Amino acid sequence: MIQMHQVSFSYDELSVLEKVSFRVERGEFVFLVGPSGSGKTTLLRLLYADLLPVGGDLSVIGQKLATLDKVSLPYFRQKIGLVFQDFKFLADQTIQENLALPQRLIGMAPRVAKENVNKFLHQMGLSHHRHALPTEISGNEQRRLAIARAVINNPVLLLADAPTEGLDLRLSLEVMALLDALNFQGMTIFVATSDRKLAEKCNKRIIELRDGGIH
Amino acid sequence: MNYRLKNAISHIARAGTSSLIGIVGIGFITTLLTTLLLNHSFILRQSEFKMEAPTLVAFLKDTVDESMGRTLVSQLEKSGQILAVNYASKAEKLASRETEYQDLGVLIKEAFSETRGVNPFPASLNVYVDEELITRKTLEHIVLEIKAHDEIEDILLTGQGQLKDRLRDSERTMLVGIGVAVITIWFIIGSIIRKTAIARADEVHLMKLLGMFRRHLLAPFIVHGLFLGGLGALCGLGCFYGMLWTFRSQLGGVHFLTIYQIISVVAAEMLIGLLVGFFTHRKFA
Repeated sequence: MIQMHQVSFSYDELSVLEKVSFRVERGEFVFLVGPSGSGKTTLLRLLYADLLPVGGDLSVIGQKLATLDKVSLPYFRQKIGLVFQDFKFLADQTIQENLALPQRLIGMAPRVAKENVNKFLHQMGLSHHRHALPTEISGNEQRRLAIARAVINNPVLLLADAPTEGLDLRLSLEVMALLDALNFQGMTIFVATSDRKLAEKCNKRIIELRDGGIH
Repeated sequence: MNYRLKNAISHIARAGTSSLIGIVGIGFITTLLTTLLLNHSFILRQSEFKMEAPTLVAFLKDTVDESMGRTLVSQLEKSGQILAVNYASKAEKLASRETEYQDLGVLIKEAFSETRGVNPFPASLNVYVDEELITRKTLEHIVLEIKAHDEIEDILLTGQGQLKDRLRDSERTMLVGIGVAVITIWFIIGSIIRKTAIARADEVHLMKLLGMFRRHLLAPFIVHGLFLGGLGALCGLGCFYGMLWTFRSQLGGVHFLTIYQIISVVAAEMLIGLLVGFFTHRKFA
């Protein structure tokens, strides 16, 4: 699912990743653990082709990212679910409109999209907030909404950046249970977090990123 | 409502009052441009009406007979600046008056015949000058050159040359006006769309990350450009028509633009909007 071989990345002169190599197989649930500023978000951005590596080979969902062009990039990204650290909701649109966005981007029929949105709102316990704005719901609800938006198109790979940041252990485990359920359905999950204890508690494979390299 | 349409409306609404001010600005420029266009059309119509008229008429002295007159014609035709010279004899002139004024022409002819028994109309040379050469200075030079001949009594400028001069001036003014209008409208629409693009940068980035196609990202920018250009043009035309209607008594028989001119103005401004939307999208999204 993910093949990273000797991948390096730097912001101008500042080297962030140095010859990073690892593999994630289809259906795996993997944690990328590392302290703040270790390059977790950068690595995730490389995976969804928001940044380009300065060296090495990177392949995601069987697609070599170096060969991606402007035409195939949207198709590639539509196969990936993204949970951003800062959620990136459309602030002036309601919860259900935010959730419907990925469906609309792939041209889903409005009736089907509405059904899917209702289903996910119900599953995530957000039905009663459907007409609220993202800023009007709690942090935990925002996380659930972010996950719902990431998986509503049934992607083969879910990349989540710090999905439990700021949550207490109980709520963090709730989020992890949600991701585990998605993994059980066959979705490959790749979670970046600085909370090593949580990752260990989940009993999943852990990749540690430190000093720009994998340990 | 269709999501893409909603997205485009949301995009336009994001510009807020800037869009409104922009439309007023474009409307103002359109009004000025339309004034130039109307002025040019008016001069063009006048020019077409007088197209067949000679540039100037040189009246011959009564002592000059037809053979001398025709010799002068061949002399003048050798000048590179003169396109053609027609000799009109006294009899032809009188006949032409009859044709031109009908009963009045007959009356004039009879009146002169009874009292003096002479044809009062002098023989003349109708001089046509190359349209490309007609400038005030060239015309003055030609007039002086013809006047220098002893056979010439007087010269009448028909105004055709001045009209051509005015037409040329109006053409130049209109071209400059169009240029300035295009640049200004481009700048106004560009500023507003750029402002919206910056305000929506995060949103557009999110949509790209979620896999939105480029053509769908482009659509709101194009729609915004078309909206500003089209609505601005219509406002300007409406304002111009209002002014024309208000001052109709002072302006006399001035007609509003033709339907083709109206369509051209609106289409041109929408095209500018479309291009600005396209290029802004390429730069910012």
